[in-house]
Amino acid sequence: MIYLDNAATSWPKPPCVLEAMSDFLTNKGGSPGRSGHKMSQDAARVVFEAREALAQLFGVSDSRQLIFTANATTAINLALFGMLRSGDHIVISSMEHNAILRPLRHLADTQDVRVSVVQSDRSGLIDPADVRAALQPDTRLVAIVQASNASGTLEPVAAIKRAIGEVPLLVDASQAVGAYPVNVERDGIDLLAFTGHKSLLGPMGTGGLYIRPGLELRPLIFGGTGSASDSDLQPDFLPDRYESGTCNGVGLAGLGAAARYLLQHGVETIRAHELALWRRLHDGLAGIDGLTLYGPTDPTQRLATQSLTVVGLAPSEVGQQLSERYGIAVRAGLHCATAAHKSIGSFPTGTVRLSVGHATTAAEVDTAITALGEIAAGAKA
Amino acid sequence: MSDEAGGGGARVVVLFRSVHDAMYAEKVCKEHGLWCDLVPTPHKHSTDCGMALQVLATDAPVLQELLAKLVLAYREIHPL
Repeated sequence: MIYLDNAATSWPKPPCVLEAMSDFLTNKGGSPGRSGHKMSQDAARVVFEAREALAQLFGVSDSRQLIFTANATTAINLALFGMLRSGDHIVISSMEHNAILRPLRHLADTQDVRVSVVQSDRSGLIDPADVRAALQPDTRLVAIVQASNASGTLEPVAAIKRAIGEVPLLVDASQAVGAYPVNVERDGIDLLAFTGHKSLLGPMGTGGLYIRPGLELRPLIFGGTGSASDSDLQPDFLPDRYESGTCNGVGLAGLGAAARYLLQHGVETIRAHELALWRRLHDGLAGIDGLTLYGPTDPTQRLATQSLTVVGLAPSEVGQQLSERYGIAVRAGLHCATAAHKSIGSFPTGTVRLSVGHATTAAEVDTAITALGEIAAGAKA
Repeated sequence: MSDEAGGGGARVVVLFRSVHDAMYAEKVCKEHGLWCDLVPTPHKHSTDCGMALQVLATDAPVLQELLAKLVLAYREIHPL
């Protein structure tokens, strides 16, 4: 199989990720922070070291500000339900994923939260001036996706933060972390939601939320933390305040190893590798009659994810042919991002999305180009 | 670090609010060559089910100073 579905989940994972998870289950295996014995200590140290590595990767000075969650969706829910109160106003972009849109729809329906949507251009780019213009006196939060899972478009997050001033900024960095040098303190990001299993190269079931010091959120989950056990009040200190319940120790073992792998190899190096493959893919596909390509053509404005449509064929048919005839794995459809597809002009069918990864080769990209050329020619015949 | 590394010196146990903070203090000790040992929090000092850090009594002031610089507050220090 040629795996070009890294935007859904990265594969393969670096061997160190598998080794760390195996080591956790084989040799550690205690409940992190819940007991004082050596196995519990070893497990807690694994979680601590994962948090420290991710803090270094994201430019976070105090790793206590990184909260682990099961995935980016949970992190986004914590941010939205934790920040917004009845009647509050929020500004989002037209490129947001359902992970943002659905909780906001619920908050709008049940708590009269008011949502303003800033329209992107046809390549998916948001203008920071438009975000500023959408602010209202009671705007409580601005939420922007850092990189679109539908088009690969990188939004100008730092410029948006400069444009909105003191209004807190929530960034959905699910696609960006590990594929782009995200730095929360440099860019002024107040809340950063991330997943562990995409370009961070960790396992599924891991993710988290960075919370800027001084920003108070209502917890989404209340319960045991292994601390202040004599009180039935939720702890007021981080990370415990937002991490009730036993964590995904084995998953965080893998995520920590993945973060250290990225620190060692460099996100910029991986980004350069992936963008070189994107250029090869884009230029190869651009010469094929019957294909429409989406997203920016300037590599500084995008990740390596490339969406396309084939004239005369539904994306699902293209995806099926790629899988069955050529052994190429892609994702077809709306990618849980209907609003983004409307913005880039690929609604209602959606697109075929090809997403290279750290382990993808030029030969694999060339095979995909040849396959899509044959599929497009067959559609015209 | 092994328990034996502490030698026979008097020890104190440092309590933290969270396991994360105890782990951080352990890291700081290791970076500065201070002997330390993570232990279950002694029940007489806390009903927490978490961890505490044993250090040599003579090192406690140094550790206090290091943690203060890092804006990491220990909660209590008790002699053993």
